[in-house]
Amino acid sequence: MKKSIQYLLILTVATIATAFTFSINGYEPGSEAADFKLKNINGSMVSMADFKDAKGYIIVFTCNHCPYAMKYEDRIIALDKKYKSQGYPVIAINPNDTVNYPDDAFGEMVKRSKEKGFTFPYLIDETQQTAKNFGAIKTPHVYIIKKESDKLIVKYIGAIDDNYDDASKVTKKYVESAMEELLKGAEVSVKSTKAIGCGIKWVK
Amino acid sequence: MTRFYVLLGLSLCFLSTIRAQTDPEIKFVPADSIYNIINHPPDSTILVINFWATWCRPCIEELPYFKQADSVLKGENYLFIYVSLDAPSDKKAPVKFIKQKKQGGRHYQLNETDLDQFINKIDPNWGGSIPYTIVLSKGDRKNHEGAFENYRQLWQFIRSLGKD
Repeated sequence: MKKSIQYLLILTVATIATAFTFSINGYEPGSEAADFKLKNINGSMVSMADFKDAKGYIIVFTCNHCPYAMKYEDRIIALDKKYKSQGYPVIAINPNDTVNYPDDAFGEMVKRSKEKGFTFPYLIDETQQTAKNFGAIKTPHVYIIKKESDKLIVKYIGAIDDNYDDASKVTKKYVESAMEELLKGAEVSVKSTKAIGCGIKWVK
Repeated sequence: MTRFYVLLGLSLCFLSTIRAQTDPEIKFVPADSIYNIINHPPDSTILVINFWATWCRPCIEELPYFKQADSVLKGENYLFIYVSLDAPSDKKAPVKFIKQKKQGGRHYQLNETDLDQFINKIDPNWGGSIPYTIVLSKGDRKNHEGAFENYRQLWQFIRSLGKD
């Protein structure tokens, strides 16, 4: 085979392989996100597209049972209160296997939302496909999305802040900082962070 | 008669301190201590380091496998180390748990809440979910994010060091 054709072939295979890998691993900052249609605690189906006036979304994969996620509940409510009116509503998604983790079952989600006074949709990802598309691996796991032209672009992935244990001792508010930059029309400077969380409970 | 009671009292105190020494305990340490363990393993020793927390069900479910492997590998230069990621504000839960389960090995609890840095320093490929396990010796290391389904899987992981 001619050398140039060989190189072209290798390049094509490499490109396809890389693209395939990225889709397996989920979104990175800069990825275009696919919308979802998931059941909310009030029984209605919710998609990002339903929020026609939104400039973007703060997607939070979270659940009832994980103590990490529970420590962040108040802070997630606060994020919604602060940014919904500025065009970025919070949308919470529970991706867990509810058979083995009955605390995360739909009925329990309804209860928790009422008890804590969630101001945002709390959706159940029954097939776990949305979590897989995003590449979420634990709870809580945040994805900030911004609408650019007609596309949903991921701008930030990861933790909410740097102290899960004590909100009063937080020194770095990752999500808020990213939001302030986005609202100013600037690029997000810290595009991703890591946090400990409960691994998402995949159905076996 | 008084002397008898004094001796009895002293013996009981003594016995209770012995019991406390043999119960497993947890050292509350900063992140640097953990980096140190990983970066400076003792010569001719294989470390099995498991990151867990009392609130993490898959972590709890696999701890018996580690206990079994530890017992099988006694006398073979393996050191089992557990790092609890229970919140620094809760020191009681992990101690109570390992005492109850008689989980031997060396125990630490991480005194750190800025975990973004910690996770990346331990392993840039670690997504941050627990359980997370490392097997390492001087010059070799393997990582496993997620639970071990059964004892055999853990065993194969531990024994895979040095075999590629």
